[in-house]
Amino acid sequence: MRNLHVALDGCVWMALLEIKNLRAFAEDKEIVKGLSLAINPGEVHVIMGQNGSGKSTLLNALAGHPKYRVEGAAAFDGKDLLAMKPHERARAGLFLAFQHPNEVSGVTLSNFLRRAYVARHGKEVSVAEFEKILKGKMRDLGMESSFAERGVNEGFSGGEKKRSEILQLAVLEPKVAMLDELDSGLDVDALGKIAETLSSIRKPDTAVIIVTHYARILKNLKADRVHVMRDGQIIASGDGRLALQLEEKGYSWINAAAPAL
Amino acid sequence: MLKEYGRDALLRDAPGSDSELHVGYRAEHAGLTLELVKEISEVKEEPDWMRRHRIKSFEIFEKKPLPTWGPDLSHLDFSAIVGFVRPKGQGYKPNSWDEVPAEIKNTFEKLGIPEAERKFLAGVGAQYDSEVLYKSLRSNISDLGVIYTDMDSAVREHPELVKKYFMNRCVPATDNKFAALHGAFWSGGSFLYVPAGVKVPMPLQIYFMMNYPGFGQFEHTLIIAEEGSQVQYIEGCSAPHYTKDSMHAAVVEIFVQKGARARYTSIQNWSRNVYNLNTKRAIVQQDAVMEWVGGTLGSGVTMLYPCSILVGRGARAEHLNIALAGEGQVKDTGAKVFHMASNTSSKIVSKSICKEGGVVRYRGLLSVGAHCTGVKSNVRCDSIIADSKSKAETVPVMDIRSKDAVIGHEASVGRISEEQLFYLMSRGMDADEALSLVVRGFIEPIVKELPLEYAVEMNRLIEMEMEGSVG
Amino acid sequence: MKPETTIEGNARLLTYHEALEDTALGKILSAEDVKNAPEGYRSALAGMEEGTVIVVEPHARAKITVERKSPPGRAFGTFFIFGENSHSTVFYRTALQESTRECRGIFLSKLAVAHCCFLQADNEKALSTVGLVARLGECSQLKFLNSNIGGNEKRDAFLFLQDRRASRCEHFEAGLARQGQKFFLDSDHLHTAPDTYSRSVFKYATAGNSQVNVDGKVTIEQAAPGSDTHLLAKSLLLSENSISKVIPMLFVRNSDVAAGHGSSMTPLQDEELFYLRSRGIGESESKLLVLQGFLRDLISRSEMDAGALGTLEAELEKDAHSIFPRD
Repeated sequence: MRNLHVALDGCVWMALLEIKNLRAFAEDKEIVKGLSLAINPGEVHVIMGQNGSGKSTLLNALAGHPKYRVEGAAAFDGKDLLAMKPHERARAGLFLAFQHPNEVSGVTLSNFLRRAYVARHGKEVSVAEFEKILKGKMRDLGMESSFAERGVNEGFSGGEKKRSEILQLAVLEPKVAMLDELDSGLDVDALGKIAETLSSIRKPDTAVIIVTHYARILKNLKADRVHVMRDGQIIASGDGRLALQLEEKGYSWINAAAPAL
Repeated sequence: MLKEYGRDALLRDAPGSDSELHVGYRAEHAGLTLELVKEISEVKEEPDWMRRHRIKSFEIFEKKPLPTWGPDLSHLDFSAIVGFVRPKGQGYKPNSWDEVPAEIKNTFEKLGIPEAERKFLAGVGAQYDSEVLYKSLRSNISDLGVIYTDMDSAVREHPELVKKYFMNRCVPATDNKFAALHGAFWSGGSFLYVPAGVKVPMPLQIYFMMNYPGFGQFEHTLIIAEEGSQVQYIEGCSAPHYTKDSMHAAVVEIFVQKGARARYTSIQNWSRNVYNLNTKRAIVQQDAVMEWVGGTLGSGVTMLYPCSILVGRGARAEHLNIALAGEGQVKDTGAKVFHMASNTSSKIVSKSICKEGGVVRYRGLLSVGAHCTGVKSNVRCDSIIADSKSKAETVPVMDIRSKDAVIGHEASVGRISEEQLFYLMSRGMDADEALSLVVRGFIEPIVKELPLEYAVEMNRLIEMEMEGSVG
Repeated sequence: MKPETTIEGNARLLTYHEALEDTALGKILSAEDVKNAPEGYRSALAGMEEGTVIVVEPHARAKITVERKSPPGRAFGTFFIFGENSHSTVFYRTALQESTRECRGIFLSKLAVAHCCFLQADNEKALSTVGLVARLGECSQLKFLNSNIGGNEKRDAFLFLQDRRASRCEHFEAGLARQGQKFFLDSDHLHTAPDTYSRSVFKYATAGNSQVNVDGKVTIEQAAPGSDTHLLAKSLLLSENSISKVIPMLFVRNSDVAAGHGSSMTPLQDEELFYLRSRGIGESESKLLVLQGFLRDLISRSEMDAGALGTLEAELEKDAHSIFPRD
């Protein structure tokens, strides 16, 4: 399903998430230096790159992190993404799974999720009703229901934090899920599980952007497009084979193949 | 141990502007005379022993100096209390609704306080009439053998009990200048006696009392929980109280006997003209538990350090406190715990918020005597400092003389992190909702110990205060 | 008597009076514009009979060792001035026999990096008072490890002044107090410039009827947004009558900060000792191992020069053995 909209600048936006020439600045330093990307419903895009290439910054900037000043254009579901506040973007169906999720002590995961759910769907839901929904999702994910009564990410291990982010994704059913280094700190088995979970909770229409260092996650998840970032820009795009080549030959290969722009 | 610190000990002076101003040691108190003390005792028709206690306290008050540490008390005017120390009776004039500050009226509105309560809180009604509401409750309590009455009546009706416990072992007049002032001019307050083995089923509130004369500046609360008993007492509320009084020097004395459990919850939101200088202390016997739960939200300057003295083996104390300091407010609060027996334990959780130039200071004294084995204590004090006009300070003193004590203390100061707010906003909550959730989470360890209506009101008040304070 | 000093690299050694001939140096050493310099610094400076100044040239690398076996008089001074962008390691040991007053100065110029390891292993008669002023220049880094063993009574008053932006200060204290010793530490970390970082870790073990009094102050002024500070004080009480009084204080006047402190006191844990003993290690040695572990953790955390740390560890080990003789 594609949406065709004409935006303010007269361009026609076709994709679910379309980014045109995006630049992101942290204080005065330019980190994302003119990046363009188009993501359609249901697609899985993988963004790879070395440390400092700007991958995380890209995702955070799209989610509206106050730290970044952004220039360029981005449309989400036909609307001007950059004009929207972070919570508006979330309500519109954009989800970011953080690499280092924050602790919010004193607030239970279930309370937190209920509010996010209400915000996302724009209608009230009673505590009891939501409890049912949440329990269902947790059962599907094989999580203990007591997990939801803990403070948000309070004292969670690395793996638990990732699971908390995935649970949130499952409950909020976003249109575009952006996953920031979901695989960092996880061993092969845990990674496999997470990828499996992702596949199972993902609706056919949900688009996924995964930022990762390693191609391992692709063993469990099929990618439609793979992009490689360096120094704030995409230097190469391809399909799943690109990721395998990268894994085999290393970043020096691709750096040589795509010299400084 | 206590001798070394003195009952009034608190520790370290915080260097900085506040404490550099100290008034000389004989404060002006024109109008506060021995005659006035005697007059008060006469009007109340007190027994001789109480009259003598007042006189002795007054003498101590005159000699004792003001504390040389802590917030600036140079504007404290003792003579201004003269007009208020006369017991409320004939000639008592309530405030007029017009003179209540707009800010307070606004808060009533925002918190949804019922009309009748508004008048009471603003000191506009003559008395809180609890006759109809709590009659059955009162008879249930007295059936259990519990004595719950105002302090003035207790002096007349239960002199043996009062005499045994009143301002001798727990908070004597010699403790500090304000305790002495209190000893001379005290009036009103509650007397609560729970016989051995009795477990009072619901928290007792000051409103339950018959003909409660309204809040006073020198209330004396005396709670005795005999062996194996259980009792909870709540006073105050988050909604603001308006008063023309400028100084409060209340005293709370609690005796928790062997195996008993007592919880004292106090939420204070007096108007900004008040100096809040109360002394609260509990003596905790073997295997007994004392819990202090508090919210200090109002008044201009507060110096409040609830103190637990753990004298019996296995005794335990928990201190939970929220302090909020806005523009022009100084909250100098904390906790003092003296471990004087083995296997005692204590837990202190202090959460403070300062904004718009407010100052929050946590002062703690944790003392463990030599020869006390198996002592455990944990202190956690966190402060949110919302802007750079405000100040947050922590000065915890730990004096540990026992080799197997396990003591932990942690403190953190900072503002509400942008990262945290963004995380919540990235889940669809707008800025206000995100802030309110974080703040609620911050104070949750204390709020969860409050009865429901109090918890709701507290959350609402703090949210109201925090609105717009994070730029 | 002058201390024994070995210098490798580009640094020069002067006496205090020689240093004063250079007005720039003199100004640095006097620290007259430092309002909160500890009293101990000023009074020792005033009454100083002899002072040693070591100046590391800008952009230089230097390795400096200073040993004092006997003091030049009652009051003396030891100063280190690190030039711009220099990189230095310092090991300073005192093994004094009598009561002394010393002022110590550590002055880092812009971008300088200095790792200083100080060991006070005086004998039981020594009562020492040390006033230290450490001043960190813009983007400079100071790692400071101070170790107190030996001596009778020690009064240390330290000021770490971070009044230039983006400086980094790590302050480690390792103390082992035996029978009758008294350690008093007044440590003041003052942040008055933006983006400054400080970490303080204090570890004290007290045995016999010794006493440790620590006032660890961290102050973040309004002019210091972006400050990141943490102070951790840990005490290990090894005997019935030792006393530990710890007061970590935090004064924050800016909201754009991350500040915290923690303090804990633990005894020798039974489980820990049992575990060692269940592997055949004797009681006294088990306690010794736990004590060594307690202090060694701090030392390795400081990540300083291996040679200096090695010496430090050896001294601590000797001292620890006197508390827990092999059984």
